[in-house]
This record gives sequence, structure tokens and C-alpha cells, in this order.
Amino acid sequence: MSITEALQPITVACPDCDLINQIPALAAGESANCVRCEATLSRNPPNAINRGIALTFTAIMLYAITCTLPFLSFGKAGIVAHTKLFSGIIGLYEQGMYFLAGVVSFTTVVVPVFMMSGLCYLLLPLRCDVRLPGATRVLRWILNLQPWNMVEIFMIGIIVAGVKLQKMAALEPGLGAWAFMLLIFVMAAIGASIEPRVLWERLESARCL
Amino acid sequence: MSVASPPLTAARAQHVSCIDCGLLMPTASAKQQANTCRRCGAALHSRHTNSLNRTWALLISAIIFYIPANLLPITLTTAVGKTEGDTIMQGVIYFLFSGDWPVALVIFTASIMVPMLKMAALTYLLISVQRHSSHRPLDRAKIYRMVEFVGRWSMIDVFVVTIMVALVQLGALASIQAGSGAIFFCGVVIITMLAAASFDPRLIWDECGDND
Ligand SMILES: [Zn+2]
Ligand SMILES: [Zn+2]
Repeated sequence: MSITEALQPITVACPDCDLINQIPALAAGESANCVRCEATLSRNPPNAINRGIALTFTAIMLYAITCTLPFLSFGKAGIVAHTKLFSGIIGLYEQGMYFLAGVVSFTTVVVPVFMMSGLCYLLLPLRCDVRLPGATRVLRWILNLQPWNMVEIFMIGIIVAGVKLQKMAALEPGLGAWAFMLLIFVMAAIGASIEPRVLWERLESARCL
Repeated sequence: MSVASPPLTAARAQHVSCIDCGLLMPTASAKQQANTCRRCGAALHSRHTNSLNRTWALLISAIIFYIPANLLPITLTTAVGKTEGDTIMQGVIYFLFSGDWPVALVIFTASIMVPMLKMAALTYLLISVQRHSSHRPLDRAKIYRMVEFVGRWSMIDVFVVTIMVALVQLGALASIQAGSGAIFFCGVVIITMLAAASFDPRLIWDECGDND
């Protein structure tokens, strides 16, 4: 199972410029770009499914830690505010900022949670060449929602807010914030280790359940 | 590269490729399946439906939203009983003069430079496609990729407001509330992301190589 298969030669149209490209067979680690507009057409990340599963489980654990352990603490002279990841969303909601609360929870909670659980739903059965009902729809949603997963931008937001507030009082990152920091790197690694084409081809040849 | 024949695109070869899974199939067999991809079930279109009009509509709404986003306060700070509103630009100026120029630079780039460049770039792409320009398509394709890649990062300021709202609730000492400018700004980021997604980059190339 650990040996990555080479991807077969294939004819595709470039998604960015519509040019017909003949992609040669791709060995593990190789990729192909459009000859006209240089868009990445196809990659063959080594051991995509197994790596994807391992990274997705790591991400789920880190996200669980982020949600349960203290995230940031802030204050001085006995008045210290401890926050969790959701505190900001709840704060916005209580101030009547329903739209902002909705956007922030969508981009930092709903989409990441959907992506992590969706990847589990796809990758675990694919390891045994099985696909579960609705698998193609789940993969389409995962791919289309990718730009709306904004955990890494949220992390930069934390750093900027920390510098902004340092004049008022000291900002202490809790264990939750460190887990969140790691989560950013794991999410990036998931993106790098998973190639849509590999998943589509595996889904196509998988047995239905 | 031959001079005579135009580059072979899926559209010229009477093929259509699925935007979601990349499957390439003849237009005729796609029609037989009600223009639905047989592999992933997505709707098949040779080009995004009504791409230019949709992108224009979203872009113009984003430009309109961008005005209140900059004029209205994005945060309301209450300290010792006094409430003060801060717009995006006031925040940048404050950090510039208080010596925190890296913060000023991050906020300026993410909240002012990126949205403005993004809206200008989309306007340029739309106009160049409508004028059937064949001028430097590769550069325009790269501009589009940049717009798509960088746009979501403007969300930083919205998250900064969220975190400050969560943290600065220190009772009498100080409290921070989100201002209405933050709603408009968040709207600008979302609408420009949707505008970039509704623009079809293949239109840039459609005028190229048509020598006949
Ligand atoms: Zn291309
Ligand atoms: Zn498809």
C-alpha cells in the first residue's frame, strides 16, 4: 500500500486557459504545468491517501485542543480576561454583530470542521478502495470551500491584535493558541499532500458502498 | 509553435472540461447527459455562465461598500466612560506614529492596498476582455492568479476586531466593540472574493491566436 503508483498519461484542458494539454505519466513527486499559461495541471504527491489520513487526524486533534484549552489571556492588576477560540464569536453575537459573528464562525469553525471531517469520510474508505454514499459531493464541497478556510489568516490576526493591545496590558498565549499555530502548518501540509486528480481517479475506480 | 493554426483549446476541439473534477469530454456526449459531469455531478459549462456581467455587478457593489468601510469606525473603544471610534486609516496612522510601524504596514497592506489593487486589477481584466485585447495574456493570467490568491488575506482586520472584542472586556478599565465599518469591510472582502471566482480566466485567452 505504501508504494505510490505513477499517474497515467492523460489529456486535459487547462482550467485557466482551456488549452488542451497532453500530460505524460507522472512519477511520485512529479507535477505538470500548462504549456501556455503555466497553471499547475496535475501533481502526484507521494503516498497521498495515507499521508492525508495521518495529517487529517493530527489536524482534528489539534483543533480539539484549540477549542477546549485556554486560548489567550489578557489583562493586568488582577483583572485578567481568559478567552477561548469561540469567545470572540460570542462577543460579536452579544453586541448584535450577527453578520460578523456568522462570517467569523463560518471561516474559522464551520469550514475547517467540515473539511477535516469530510476528508476522513473520503480518505479512510479510499484506503481500501471503497467509496461511501455522497463521496463525490463531499469532495466537490471540500475543493470549493478551500479558500474560505481562513485559520491561517485568523492566526495572523491574533498576532496583530497582540501587538495592538500590548500597550494596554500583556497578552499571554495559552496552550490552545500553540495548538492552533501547529494546526496552520498541518492544514498547509494537507493542502500540499492532497491532489484533486488523485482523489477523483481513486473515487472513480473505488467500489460503491 | 506553428504560426498558422490557433492553439487547440477544448472549446475549439468541441470539448468541455469539468470545472470541479477536470474530466474532459466531447460537448456532444455532455449534452446527452444534460450537461452534468458523469464523474462528479457538477454542471458543465464551456465558460462560466454570464461571467462578465456577474463579475461587474459584484465588483461595483464591492466598490460601493468600500466607501462606508473606510468612513465608518471599525472599532468603538470605551475607556474611562468615553467612547471613541476608529476607522481603518486612523488605526494605521495611530500605529505609524506610536512607533509600531510593522503593525501599521500589515494593516495598511491587508486593509487598504490589497482591496484597492484587487478592485483595480479586476476592473482592468474585465475591460481588457471586453475590448477583446490580445495584449500580454500571460501577464494578465498572472494578475488574475494573484488576485485570487491574495484576496482572502484582507480578512485580517476583521479577525483583529473579533479578537479585540473578545479580549478587551475589562469592565471599567476598557472595552472594545465592533463598529459598523467592520461589517462593510467584511462585505467588501467577501464580495471581491466572489467577484474573482465569477471571473473566468479562460476569457483572457479566448482572443489569442485568432489570426483568421
Ligand atoms: Zn493554461
Ligand atoms: Zn466533474
